[in-house]
Amino acid sequence: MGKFFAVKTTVNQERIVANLMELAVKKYNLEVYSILAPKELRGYVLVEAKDIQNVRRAITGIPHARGILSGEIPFKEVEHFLTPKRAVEQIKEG
Amino acid sequence: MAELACKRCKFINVDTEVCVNCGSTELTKEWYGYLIIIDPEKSEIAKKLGITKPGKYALQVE
Ligand SMILES: [Zn+2]
Repeated sequence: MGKFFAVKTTVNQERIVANLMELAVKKYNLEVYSILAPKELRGYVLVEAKDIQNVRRAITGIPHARGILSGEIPFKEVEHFLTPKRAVEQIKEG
Repeated sequence: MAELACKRCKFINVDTEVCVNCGSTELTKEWYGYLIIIDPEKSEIAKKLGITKPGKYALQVE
């Protein structure tokens, strides 16, 4: 079962960090299962991995990755980013 | 390099007019949220979203 961690990034570089992490995961065969960059979460990417050591290896040497927040993030908190509210619908409703 | 998300399966396609994941031709540049699934078998997110194929997905398409 994976755990979730937040990697701090430079704002607006979230996708680039995610892409570079993916390359590192594949290159070094790391136990990282998914990487998430929700648009509501500026300056962070969420990483699903076996443990924090694998996340640390995945960000080593990657520009714009500024470290890992200490502590796991409960899946419940990750889950609400998976079904974002549609801004267009909200405007139409209002 | 155009990154277009599939309206049907949310897979992000690069420089193609047909979704390489599901074959749909309904692709859009209006998408938000970025998800890279590396290991669908071990990923809780992949299970939650019903994703079985590694790749890049949008969280939301317009
Ligand atoms: Zn598709």
